[in-house]
Amino acid sequence: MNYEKFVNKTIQFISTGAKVETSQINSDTNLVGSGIVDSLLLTELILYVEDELECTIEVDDFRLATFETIDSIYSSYGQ
Amino acid sequence: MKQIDILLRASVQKKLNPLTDLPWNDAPSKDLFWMPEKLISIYGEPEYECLCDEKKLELSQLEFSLLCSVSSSGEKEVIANMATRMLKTKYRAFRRYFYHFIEEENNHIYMFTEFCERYGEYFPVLYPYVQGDIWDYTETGDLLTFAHVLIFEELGQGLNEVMAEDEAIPELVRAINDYHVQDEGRHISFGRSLVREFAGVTKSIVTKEEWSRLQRFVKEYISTRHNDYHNVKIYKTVGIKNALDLRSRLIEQRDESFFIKSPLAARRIKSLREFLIEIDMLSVEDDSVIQTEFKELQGVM
Repeated sequence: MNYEKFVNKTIQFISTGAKVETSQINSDTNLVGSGIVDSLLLTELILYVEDELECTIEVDDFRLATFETIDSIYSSYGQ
Repeated sequence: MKQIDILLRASVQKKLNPLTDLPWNDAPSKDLFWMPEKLISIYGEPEYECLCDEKKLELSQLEFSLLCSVSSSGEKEVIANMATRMLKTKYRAFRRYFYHFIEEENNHIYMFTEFCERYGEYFPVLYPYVQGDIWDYTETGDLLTFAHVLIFEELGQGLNEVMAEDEAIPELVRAINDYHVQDEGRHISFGRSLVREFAGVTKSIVTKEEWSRLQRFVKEYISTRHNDYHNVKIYKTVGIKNALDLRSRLIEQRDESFFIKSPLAARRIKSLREFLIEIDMLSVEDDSVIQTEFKELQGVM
C-alpha cells in the first residue's frame, strides 16, 4: 500500500475509533501524546496495521515510538 | 483484617503446586473440544456455522491456548503491579497475603504457559499501558490497579468454572481450570477487601474530577475485557476471511456480558457491579445501561 493511501485510510480508522474529526489528525500528529489514541485504540491500531500492511508486529519487543505518528508507523512497517 | 487472616490460612493449608498436582502427561485429545462450544468467541455467529466439524475442533483448541495466553499475560501484569506496591507502608496490613498472592499468580503463569508449550501455542498479548502517569494522586493509580486485578479475575472466573465442570473436555484442561478456580476464589475475596478498604480513603483525598475520571476508566475496563479473547490470527488459521472485520464487529457489539456463560457467572458479574456501585467506583448512570442489557441476557439464558 502506498504512503498516501495508507495515511488517508489510517486517519479514517483513527477518527472512527477515537470519535474525533479527521481534520484533527495529520500524518505527523503525535497519536498517543495528543490523547487521541488511548491504550485500547492502540491495540486495535496495531491489528489494523498488521492487516493493512501485511506485516507482523512483534509484541515482545514492541516500541511505542514506532506508533508515535502515522508517518513513523509507515516508515517502520510500510517499506 | 480478620478476613485477611482467614484467606492467609486458606492459602497455606490449600497450597497447590501445578508442577506436581496436574496430570501433565495426559495429553489432551485432538478429537475433542478443548473448551465447550458456547465459550468459543464466534459461537452462534454465521462464520462459526460455516466451519466444518474439524475446524470447529481446531478453533476450540486454539482458543483454549488463547485463554491460557490471556490469563498468563494478565497475571504477569498483576504480579508486576502488586510487586511495585507491596512494600508501601500503607499496604502493610495486606503484605503477608501479597506474598502468597504473588506466588499463586506465578504458579498460574507457569501452569498456563506450560500447557501452551506442551500442547498448544502461546499467543503474545499486548497490554499497552501507554497513558503513563496520568493521575494527580498516586492513590488513584494504586486503587485502579487493585480494581483492574479484581475485575480481571472476577470476569475470567466464570469461563474457568464452566470448563472445570465440563466432563466432555480433556482431563488436563479441566484440571487446569479447576486449579485456577480454587485459587482465584481466594484472590477475589482478597481483592474486594483491598478495593473496599482503599476506595473510601482515596475518594476522600482526590478531586471530584479525578474520581469521575477513575469511574470512566473502571467502566471502560469492564466493558472491554472481552477484546483479548477475539484473535485475528486464530480466525485466519481456521480459514475465516475478513478476520479483522469479524473481530472489530464482535468486540464492538459485546461487553462484559461476553463472560456470562452460566447462571453463576451472571450472579457474580451482577454482584461485582453492585459492589463497585456501592463503593462509588462505578456510577449509577453507567450501570442503568448495563442492567438493561443484563436483564435481556438473563431472559435468554
